[in-house]
Amino acid sequence: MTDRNDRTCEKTGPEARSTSAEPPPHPDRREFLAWLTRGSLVAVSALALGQVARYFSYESAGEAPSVIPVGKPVTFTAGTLTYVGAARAYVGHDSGGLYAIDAVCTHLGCLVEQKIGEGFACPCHGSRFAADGQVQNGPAGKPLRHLALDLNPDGQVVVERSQPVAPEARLGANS
Amino acid sequence: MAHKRPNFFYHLHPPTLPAREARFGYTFGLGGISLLLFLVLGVTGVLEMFIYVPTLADAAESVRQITYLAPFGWLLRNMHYWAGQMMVGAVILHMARVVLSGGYKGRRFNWLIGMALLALTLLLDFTGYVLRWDQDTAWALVTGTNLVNTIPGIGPALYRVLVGGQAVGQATLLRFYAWHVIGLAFAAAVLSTWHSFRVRRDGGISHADPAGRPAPRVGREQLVRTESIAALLTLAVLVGLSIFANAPLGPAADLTVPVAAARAPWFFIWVQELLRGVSPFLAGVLAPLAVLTLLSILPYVFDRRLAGIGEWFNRPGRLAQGVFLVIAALVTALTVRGLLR
Repeated sequence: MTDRNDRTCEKTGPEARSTSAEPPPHPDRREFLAWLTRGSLVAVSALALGQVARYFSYESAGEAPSVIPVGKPVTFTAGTLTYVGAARAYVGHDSGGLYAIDAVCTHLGCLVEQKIGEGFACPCHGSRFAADGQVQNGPAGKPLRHLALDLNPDGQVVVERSQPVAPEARLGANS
Repeated sequence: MAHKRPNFFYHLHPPTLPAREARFGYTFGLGGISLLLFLVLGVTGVLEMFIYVPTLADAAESVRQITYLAPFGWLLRNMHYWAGQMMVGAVILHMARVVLSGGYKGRRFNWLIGMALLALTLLLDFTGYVLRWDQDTAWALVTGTNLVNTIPGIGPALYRVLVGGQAVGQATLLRFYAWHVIGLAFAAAVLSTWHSFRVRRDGGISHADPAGRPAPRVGREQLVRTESIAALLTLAVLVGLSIFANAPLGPAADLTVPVAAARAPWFFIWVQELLRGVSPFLAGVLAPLAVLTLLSILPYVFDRRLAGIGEWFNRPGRLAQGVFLVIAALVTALTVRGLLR
């Protein structure tokens, strides 16, 4: 492309006839300037692209609340397992007390569905989990998380989504 | 007699074309049909933008306004939907035609532009699918973006750039909207113009000159006539489909409600099937990239010769055709398995 432009210049430029037969007076200077032009174009584009990437990394909203009230303890009667949408978790009540299982599949984040009988199934890629969240079959590799439960000052049960606990943990009936 | 200046559509073609390859039965007009559908998508898409609202609260509702309240909105949305599905099909068939008839020979760079256009077409269809914002599309979005998260190293950073935050939400819908209506669409418009220009610059449709003497040629008005008929038939099929088959529309997306079954858009069902058995990074990121890479290097690695150009199932291109057909068979088999599930 540079060659073609040069040729056009030589044909139409004011001193076309006198210079066309001779080589350019300072080839190394020309080369240097061409290199400088290309180099600065690349540098400016790279810098601009870097800033565009930073622009894209902007996050407007803060994180979603991680402590979510789900209702009074009495709403979760013994022997039941209830899905609470706001917390995206199943809240259960067994002999030890209340517990919460995260409904977010550990594979790719779909919400698992409670199966008639026992356990959970993921609608997206077919992972199966036992009632305690253990993987029964893949593709998920990790068990469903158990989430910490607590009581807030209003006497409501809260699910703490950012606080996984051991599967044995229970919010005791005495608390 | 005064010289008549050719009209714009004549101007897009060389004055004469090789007779054999200008026939409809050689190309099936698939490249042109893809371009026509892209234009239809542009027009119907802009019209939809006048009602669609890319917010979590209003997206599903505004799709219903287009579908049920706006006069002829149902036809508009159906045409946008069906043109999108037909374009994915036409683009894939166009690629198959070019591989199997040796059309990539001697124009490898245009093959690469075509590969970029294939990727853009799939991304455009996927982002558009998400904008519908019903229960199916929401979970496709969640799994699709979580796949990005599984890329070692840059995954989490890329995820946040894509989603616009810690988790899928309002910022995600807005970003996908911007990508769909202008970011990806503009790139596809530029590349498809370049793609068509390269065909024109390379002397029109790829063809062979039989031993020594140049192939018989026809005037471009013949090709323009064939193209017009193909365009009218394509539009007839599109409008027919749009009148008799409604674009899917499920209950509004709610990311706190589990669903009984979530299915990927049809052209990604093969990925969803792979994900059922293979690790997410391998199945959802590496496998699609490997397919795209293998296809891209066909004319660089598997068939570098010019012989057999314009000849269906030409001998020199057997390896390239074989690689393509194996990939196509695997993807089709996985898709069928997913559809039957």
